[in-house]
Amino acid sequence: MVNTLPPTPEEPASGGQRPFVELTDVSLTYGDFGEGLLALKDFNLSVGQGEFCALVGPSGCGKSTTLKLVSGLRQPDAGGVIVAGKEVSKPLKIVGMAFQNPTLLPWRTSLDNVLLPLEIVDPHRRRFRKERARHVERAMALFDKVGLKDVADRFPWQLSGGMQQRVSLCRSLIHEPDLLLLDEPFGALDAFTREDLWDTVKALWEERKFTTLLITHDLTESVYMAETVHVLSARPGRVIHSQRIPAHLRRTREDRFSPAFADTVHRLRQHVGHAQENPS
Amino acid sequence: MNRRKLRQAMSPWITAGGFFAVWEVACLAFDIPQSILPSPTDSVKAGIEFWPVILSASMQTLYTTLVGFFIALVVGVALGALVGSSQAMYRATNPLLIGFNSVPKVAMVPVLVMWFGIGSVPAILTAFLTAFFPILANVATGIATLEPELADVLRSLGAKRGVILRKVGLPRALPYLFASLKVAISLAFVGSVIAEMVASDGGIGYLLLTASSSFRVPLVFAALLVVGVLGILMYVIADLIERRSTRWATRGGGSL
Repeated sequence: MVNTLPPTPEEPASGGQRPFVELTDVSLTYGDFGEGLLALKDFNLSVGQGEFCALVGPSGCGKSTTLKLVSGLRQPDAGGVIVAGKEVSKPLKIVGMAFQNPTLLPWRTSLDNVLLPLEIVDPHRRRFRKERARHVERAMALFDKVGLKDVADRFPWQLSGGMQQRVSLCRSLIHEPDLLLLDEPFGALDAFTREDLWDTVKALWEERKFTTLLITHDLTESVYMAETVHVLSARPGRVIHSQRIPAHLRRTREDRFSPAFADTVHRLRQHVGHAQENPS
Repeated sequence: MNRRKLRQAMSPWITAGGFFAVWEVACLAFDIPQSILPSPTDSVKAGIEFWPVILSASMQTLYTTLVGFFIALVVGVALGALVGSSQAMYRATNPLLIGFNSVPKVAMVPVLVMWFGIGSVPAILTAFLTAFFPILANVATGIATLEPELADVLRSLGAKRGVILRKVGLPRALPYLFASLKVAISLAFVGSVIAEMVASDGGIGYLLLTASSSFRVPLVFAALLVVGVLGILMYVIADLIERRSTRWATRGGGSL
């Protein structure tokens, strides 16, 4: 029912598609002082074009570091990071990012917060004023999809946590990135809001199929959202288990309460348990 | 509800009124001689008697204070932006700036007089020197405390330093800037008056010095009251500008 891939991410992860993100034998040490903190060691990961994949693992295992490497905000000490067929050597402009903290600018309305990337990123920046009406239209369409239409001219501090996180998601998607990096964006939300947002993100992904890397502590979330779940070991992190999640397991909210779903979550839990017990 | 609002609006006036009432009563009750502590009414009387002198002196002080303050504002914001937007700059300049700030400004006045002679220039420069450090420090803090996640978002969008500064850094530093302006304007007054007392031929500081050396104590207090009132006035103006431009920082509500 659930096919478990061997932890060799060399083989294409998603139905034979070519990998869009590929990390090969990556190592990274934090800290410039003598006793550095080894965050990742011999880390291998491959994400197919348009694939939704989740990274789970014990805390401090280098999940966020992986995102920094993929986005080009950090360079590895050893190994290669390839995104969209190119070696990553500087921050990529084709990524959208959202974090646990929505990090909205309090002096801008929701709409202006979402437009921020277009004022900064290069092909749009120069023409921003001229094309503002078109951008606003696009932002409003996005707002409509995530249920924010009525709060476009409100300020972030007038919105609930869930609403702020929706705005943050829209900001990460407005420039139509090819790669979406989500670092526990649902972590600080209450359970019901979180479930709503799962469906929102899923729907957006179904529509555009941007390659997505989701970091989470929540196994239910990872199984419900992702096509492939990668379990990371304790620090120094590397992928110790990769698992495909068949689509029929996670079509609707109700599916989360099926025995097969629970079984999958349970098995992943055991792998995370191993990761906590045996730091590599 | 309305009564409560009225009481809230009146409370600063009541406090100030009470202060002066206690002062007045104390002077009367303990029969304190005018040459030691004149009562508020005596001070106001002296103020009315010498109003042309006090007016021209306060205009002079106001002028040096404001000029010094605006120089401090420009220099403080520019240097603050520079220092705040780079870790390396911060590390490199911080000790020197703290050193400069620790030097008592009154000690600089003789040097300034040596360079620029008696007059408005030393007062303006002293006002500038006392006022600019809090502005610089606050602007630098406002810019440097950008959330790391937000910095990541901006960097991954390929934002240039200048763009980050304009779109995020400076707006983010505005509440810090205004908080510092309220401190800085008071400090600029202190700087001006001190410089006038050490070396000047005009201004409230000079008036204070001449009045006290001729034992016109009520006039001294009248001058002090004027300085206090001017300080409050400047503070209120800074506060008004702040409320208008950074409503988001107080989440739309009133401040202080």
